Formats: sequence, C-alpha cells, structure tokens
Amino acid sequence: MKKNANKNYVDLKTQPIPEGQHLLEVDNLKMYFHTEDGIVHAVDGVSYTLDRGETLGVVGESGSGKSVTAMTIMGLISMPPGKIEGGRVLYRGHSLLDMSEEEMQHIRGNDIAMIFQDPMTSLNPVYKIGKQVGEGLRLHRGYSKQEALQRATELLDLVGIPEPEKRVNEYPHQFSGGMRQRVMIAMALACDPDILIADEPTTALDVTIQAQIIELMQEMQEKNGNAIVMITHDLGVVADIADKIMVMYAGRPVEFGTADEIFYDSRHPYTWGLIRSIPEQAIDEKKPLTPIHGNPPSLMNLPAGCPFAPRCPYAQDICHEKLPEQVTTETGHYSACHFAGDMDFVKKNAPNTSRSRGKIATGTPDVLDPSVIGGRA
Amino acid sequence: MLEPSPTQRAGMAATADTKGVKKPEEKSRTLWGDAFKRLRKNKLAVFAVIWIIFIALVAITADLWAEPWLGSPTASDSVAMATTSLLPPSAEHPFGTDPLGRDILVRVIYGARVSLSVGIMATAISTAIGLVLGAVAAFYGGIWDTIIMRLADVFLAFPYILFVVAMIAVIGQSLTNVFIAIGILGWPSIARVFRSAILTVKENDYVDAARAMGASDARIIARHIFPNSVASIVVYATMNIGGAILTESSLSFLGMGVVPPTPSWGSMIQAGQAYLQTAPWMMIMPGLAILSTVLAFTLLGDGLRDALDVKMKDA
Amino acid sequence: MADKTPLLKVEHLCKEFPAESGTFGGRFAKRFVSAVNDVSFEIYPGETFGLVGESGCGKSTTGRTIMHLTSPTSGKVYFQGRDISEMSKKELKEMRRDMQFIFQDPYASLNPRMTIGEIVSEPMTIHGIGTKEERIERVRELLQVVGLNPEHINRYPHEFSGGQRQRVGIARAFILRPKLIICDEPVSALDVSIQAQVLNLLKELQDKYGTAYLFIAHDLSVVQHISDRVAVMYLGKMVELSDWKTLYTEPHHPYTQSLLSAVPVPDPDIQKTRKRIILAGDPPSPIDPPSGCRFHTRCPMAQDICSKEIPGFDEVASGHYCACHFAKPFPIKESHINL
Repeated sequence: MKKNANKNYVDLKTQPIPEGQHLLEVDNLKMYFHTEDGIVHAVDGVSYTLDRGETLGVVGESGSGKSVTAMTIMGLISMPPGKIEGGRVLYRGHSLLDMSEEEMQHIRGNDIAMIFQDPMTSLNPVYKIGKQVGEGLRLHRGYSKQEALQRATELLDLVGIPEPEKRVNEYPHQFSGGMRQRVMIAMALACDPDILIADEPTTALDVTIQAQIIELMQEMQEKNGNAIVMITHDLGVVADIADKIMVMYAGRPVEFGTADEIFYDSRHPYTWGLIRSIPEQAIDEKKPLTPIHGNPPSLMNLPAGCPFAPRCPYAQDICHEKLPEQVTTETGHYSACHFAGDMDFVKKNAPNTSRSRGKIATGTPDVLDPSVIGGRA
Repeated sequence: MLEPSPTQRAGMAATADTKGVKKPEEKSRTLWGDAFKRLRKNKLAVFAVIWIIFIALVAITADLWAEPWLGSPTASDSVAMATTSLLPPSAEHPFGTDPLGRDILVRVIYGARVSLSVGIMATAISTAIGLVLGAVAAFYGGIWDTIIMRLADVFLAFPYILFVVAMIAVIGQSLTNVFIAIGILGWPSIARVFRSAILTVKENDYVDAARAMGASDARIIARHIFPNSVASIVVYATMNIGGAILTESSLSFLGMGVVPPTPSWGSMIQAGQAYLQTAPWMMIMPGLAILSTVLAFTLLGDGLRDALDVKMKDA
Repeated sequence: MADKTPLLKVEHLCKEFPAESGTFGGRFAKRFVSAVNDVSFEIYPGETFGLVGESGCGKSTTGRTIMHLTSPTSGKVYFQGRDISEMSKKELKEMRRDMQFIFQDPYASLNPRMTIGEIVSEPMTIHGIGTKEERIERVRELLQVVGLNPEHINRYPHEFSGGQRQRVGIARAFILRPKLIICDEPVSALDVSIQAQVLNLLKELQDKYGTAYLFIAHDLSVVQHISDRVAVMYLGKMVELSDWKTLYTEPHHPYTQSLLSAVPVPDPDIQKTRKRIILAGDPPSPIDPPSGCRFHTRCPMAQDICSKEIPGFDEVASGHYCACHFAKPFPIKESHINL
C-alpha cells in the first residue's frame, strides 16, 4: 500500500559502515562566508568522529561556529555567500559534501535530523501538529495520510505529550514552549534517524523544562540507539550526557576529548576559562568569578597566531605569532595550544574540579526520593 | 585617579582587541551615514537619484534655455501652427510637435514642473497631516486611536480618484487646489505607517529606560521615538511622491487637473489620444516621462528602505 | 544589612493584566492575568536581593511595578519610607534619580540613534545636572570604571558587542549614583564568559558605591552568586525567601528544591551521580491559576489540602519565609567523591 516515491533511492541508514570508518566523520571542514566586507572564517578546520549511540557535545560561545558546522553538514548553508573551502564529511562512508540537493533531501530528516533552539519559530503556525510530525514519514517513507497521522500520535505519546489523540489536531500556538520542543523531538525522531543534531535545544526553555527535555533526549537515544550532536554554550548541560566534547572558539576546535578528559584533564586555557566562568555553587563563601577577559575576535579579521591569544592570561610571544598545532594524546584527546604538551604548565593552571578537590556542593536535596517525579502534567 | 580594577582591565583588553581588528583611524559611523553608504552601493537607486536630479534641474532652469531654443510651450501662433503642426521627431524638434505647432519636448519639460511640484507639495501636505494624526493615535491610544484609525479606514474605502475629482469640483480647478486635494486625501496611509512604526519603537526597552530615568513624554517622543520611527516615513513619502505624480496625471487626463494651456503630462496624453494613429509621439513622449519619473521615485524608495533597514546589516 | 530601615518596602503587591485586549484597550475585560499576587518584601541599603523564577512567574512585572513603569492593581511600594503611588509627577521624577534600571536585552535597551556619550549622560541631562563639559567628564570617568574605552564616547551602540553594550547600560544606571538599581536579568542574554565579567563588575560597583540591587533572574546559580537574600517566585506568588546560604543549604519549599536540582553542574561525576527532581509538566496559565497552593499541580508531595487552602507565607526560621503546608527543611549535603 505504501507508495514508493523514490524507487532508485538507496536508504543509506540500512547500509553497513565501511570497515575502519565511523558513522559520521568530519575531517578538517572549512566553511567561509564571502561577504561584501570580507571573508568570514566561520568554520575553520573542524574534525571529529561519531558512532551510533554516542553523544557529542559541541560547546562554544555565540559566533564560535558551532551552529554553522552543523548546518554545513546538513547542507543548509546557502552558497553563496557560504563556500566550503576544504575538508570532508563522510556519513557511512558517503561524502555528504558531494551529494546533490536531491540526495541531501533524502538524508535530511531521514538519516540526520535536526532540532533548533527556538521552538516558537521552528513550527509552522498554519498546520496542525499531527500533519507536521507526520510530514517526514510521508516524504521519506511514502506513508499515507492516515498512517502518518497514526504514527504521529504514537510519537507524541512517546515524547510524553498527554492526550496525543487530541493534541495531533491542534495548532502550534496551543502548545507551550516545552511542549513544542517535545513536538520538535518527535518530528526529528519520526524517521528513526541515525544522527540527531540538537542546536541549543534547551536554551530558550525554563530550567525545570530544560531538565525534562534533556532527559527525554537521553531516553530516546537509549531506545533508538541514534547518535546525538548536542550544540550548546553551557558546559553544564553536556556534563553528564556527552561521551565526547568539542570546544570551539572563533570557528576552530580548540579542544576535543571525552567528557572526562575535557572536565578533568583539560589542556586548553579557553576550556579552563569556560569552566571557571560558571558560578560555582559553593556553600561556604563567595569568591569572585574568574571571567575570560575581553571579547571574542571578529571572524573577519582574526588575530595572527592563536585566536584566543588576545584573551589568554598565559599567552606568550609565540601565541601571538604562530597558530598552534593540535597536541594529541594516545586516546585522541587533542588541544590546540602551544603549551598543551607541557604538563607542568597544565597542572599549575588548570581549574580545580571535584576530582582534585574531592567534594563540591551539588544543589540536590538528598532526602528526596528521586523516583518521585512530580505531580500531574 | 582610579585604580583600574580587574574588571576594568577586562573591558579595556576588549577595546584594545577591537582596535586591533578595526583600523584605528576609523571614524564613528552614524546610522544615517551608514545608510547613505549602502544606498550608494545600490546601482538602481543611484540611477534613480541621478534621474530625479536631472529632471528637476531641467525643469527649474527651463526658462533660461528651453524656451529660447524650442519656443514657448503655450504659444498659439497661427503662422507657426501652419508650418510646424504635427511634425515627427527630428533634430529641430527632438520629440516632434503637436497640432498647434508647439514643440513636445518643451511641453514635457514644463510639464515636469507641474508633476514634480504636485508630487512634492501633495506629499508634504499628506505627510504633515499623516504624521500628526498617526502620532496622536499611537501615543494617546484608546479613544483617539479608535477615532483616527476608523476615519482613515473610511477615507481608504472611497475610490481615491473619484474622491479627488469630487473635491476639485468643490474647491475649483487650479494647480494649488490640485496640491491640496491630493495632499489632503493622501494622509491615511502615511498615518497608518507612522502609527505602526511608533508602536513598534515604543516596545523597545530604551523607551522604558528613558521613562525609568524620569524623562518627560516630550523628551521621549523627540529623542527616542521620533528618530527611530522616521525612517519608515522617509521611505513611504518617497514612494508617495511617485503616486501623487500619477494621480495628477490621471486628473489632468480627465480634464480636472491643471488648467490649459499650462502643459501637464496627463493632459498631453489626453490631447494625443486623437492622434494615436497619425502622431503617436504626442502620447509616447509624455507617457515615457511619467513612467521614468514614477519609476525613479519607486526605485529610490526601495533603495532607501533597504539602506535604512538596521536588521539587514546587524546580523 | 546592618541598617534596619528598609530602602524599599513592598507590601501585598498585586498586578493584574486584562487577558484580552478588546476595542477599549481591554478596559472591560472579564478575565485577568494574575501576574503578581500578594508579594511583600523589603530591601535594605547596600544589599542585593535576588528574585528568581521561571518565565511568566511575575518577577519582571514586580520590578517594573516597583519602578512605576506600570502601576500596581493593589498593594503599596514604599521607597525611602514614601508611598510611590501617592507621589506627584515631580516627586516621581526625583525618586527616579535614586532608583535606576538595568535591562536584559543589551540590544533593545540602547537607543540606536544616540551616541554612547548621549546615552550614558541622559539621566544627567534629564535631571539637569551639571554643564555639558561636566557631563562629558563624568561619562568618561564612568566608562573607564565599567571597563570601556572613554575614547569611544562618540560611537554608536551597534559598534559594540553584547557584553560591551551591557557595560554601557550599567554606566547609565550608575551615573547618578542611585541608591537602588533594579537589574532585570542583566546577564541572561550574554555568553557565559561575558556573564562572569558583568557579574563581577556589578559586584565591584556595589562595593564602591554602596548601591542596593534588586537582582531578577531565572537562574538560581547566578542569583546566588551575587545575592545576600533570595526570594523564589512561582506563578505570581512568592514561595520562599531567605538569606542565600539558607536557601541553598536548607530549601524548605519543594519548588525551590526542584529549581536547585535542575541547575546543571559542570562536572560529569557529580552530574551523573546526584539525585535530581525533574518536575512534570509545564507551569499552569496565570489566567486561571490553580486553586489552593499554585504549585500543587506539579508538586511531588502535594496532598489534598494543597489544592484547597492557600498556604500562608510563614516564617519558618528567623528571616526565612516559606509558603508551603508541609514546609520543612531538606538539608542539602555535599557529595563526597573519592577517587
């Protein structure tokens, strides 16, 4: 009964990953924008690998190129002004950058899905929720209208929207921000994608709703085994859910490693600065925060040498002159700093963490039973 | 006098590195200056400005050279009539002549005086009324807003040309009355645009900031709301000039505009109607004049809108 | 805090908005949004009072009502002992010399058509203080204090980054040396590293000028860092108020507890092992708030009484108030992580 609209299309999801390769491999990706005022080096040499079931956290401030990287992989950057200046993106061994727009349309939503920051504007206000959630299924799987609606109802139920039979027939404005983000997740997961890219999915939401959404994404990952790329400006958000973390600054990855390596064995002063900037929930006394001085550089006119050098408290002459190479350990943990290999330097200046101090306040009432999850929705 | 604290140094480092990025001698840019720069990059808008200036200069200086060269635009000399009636375009009469032997070019040039002055004067009147009523509606809101905006709806619901014709019939036919009729009836759209611009600007925090500082209403309007909402009016008024020129042409075509023999593009087209087969230049030349001038104002308005749009550049 | 005469006193403040804006500006609306309901607190000279809650809880409306940007439906606001609602226009203007505002959005709060110098000196201009030269001198001094280059006095806001603009907003708030500044989420629009800069700056300026802050935020960790006392609001009502340390170590209200546990900790070991309360559902609509305790629909420990009776805002310990029928302390222990 299902229409097979695209007979000659091979579902890449079902193909095996070539020997020795990863689900997603991004290799030295460069995306520049050619504007009237000059060239913006939005993404400059990003590399990482991702496997099924893994979560990659991409952390950086606004303008660090973390979103543009994701949009480039999805083929969502309009070119011009954008231009890929180098690098490869391999998905199950197939180069995404060489695909035609038509092929990319099959990838988007079906193999790689994306959730955006603002749940208020990413849903179309004139269509019913059910239609929007089922759209991908109609497009990629050739579902009929009824089948798509049926599946949309199931998906809404799955992401914890009460009364899904009723809610599929409602419009976006009848949903709260948190509920819309749930709808976005349902939409993204509709075709059972390999990779879910979430671009600041909780930034626009309240703290208590934030926790709900992150928990939901983790739950869904356990069920479906998909990989997640979680883009965020908040290191705290990815602390417990990320397997790997890439820290970006001024379009470049400055550090990449497992979550433990980034939090407990970081070798880059920018990562240190990010960790130190977060208000610490100390209970004994208040210390002033340790901010990173200055502002991020303009991507159009990057300083010579290390882009972080003008703000780095440890910068030496070499930092202002020469772009640092990535110093990589055996485990694949790399840091783009001239002094990342100098363990004395790292030991002396890295921030204290729970591992080095042994204790830290957690902000959780220990007496409460965590199995109690509150009230009626 | 003050020891620089760590935070101060933080900020100064910031300014230092922006300096490294920008050229140090760079002067501060104003929004209007920026807008002008962007406008200059828009070729169509630049062309429109040149065209408008050219027409205006030609029209203003016409007495000095056009009349001596091409003869009077209003002459009705029977000798000339016999010899020069309905000549096609030539070196001597670049746009040809009409049945009365008058040069079409000189009439188009003098017609530009009528068109431009009507366009500008009528728009000035509409804008003055529209700004006041739009501002009152937006600031005082409530009952004032309801009355003014419903009145605007009523005005907009009438067929515009008929309204103007009726008004001219009442106040009499003259150039001044054409200004007045088109001007007075043009306020509702300006009032609407200005009102919505003010309402948008009013939502900005800097208006609340000014109130929180204790600023008076007059200061808030003059310093904060007006400078930020006037851009949309500049754009709208520019386009409105083209519209007013068209209206004047339609009026003259209907015989309700400027009194003959004063040349006007609309009445010239009307006069040429009868000679469409034999002397098509009589209609084509003033038609082209209307087309190019109205188009120029529209393109300029478009260009201004893009140039003044802060959002477009502040990505 | 030593000074026991409050600088600002808010008594039973209520603010309602018409739920629909009809032909007559909603004057005859039948349904109302109860944005702020029966909120009372005091701010002492030189202290920082934190006000926390999720979006729509009425924290910003409280700030705006105190500033008299919108007038209260009922209740009183006393500034330096005087009732604001009874002030004449002139007195209100005088009061605004001593009470300033810092806005959340560093883009919308600066007039794009004015230079930085004009923006920062505007409070002086409005109150007719100093000659032009004196104003410029003061602006340059203050730009220096907030960490901006005084040479940039003639630049326009769009030439600055978000963090720098927020510094401009801070300079403007401080130029008249006010006694109280209402900070409405001053760092939530900024990047993490810039947030820390601005928080430190605010703290430094407070130490220097002895200004009191009403610090509004949705983020408990930011508020705690800067505040002496913290109040938590939920759906227009204040649910808990105490000094920052007690609130953090012994929160009594289940909502405060869940807020605290929702703040992500940037440390995987802790984040993975700590227990968290994740509240179900969304905050209900303030148009038709739940009966009894407004939090009962999401509360993990709600009983029958919670939906029937409105809990009083009672003092559970000295200076520690809580609005819960079952208020009792839930001490937060430190997690010990041994390697």
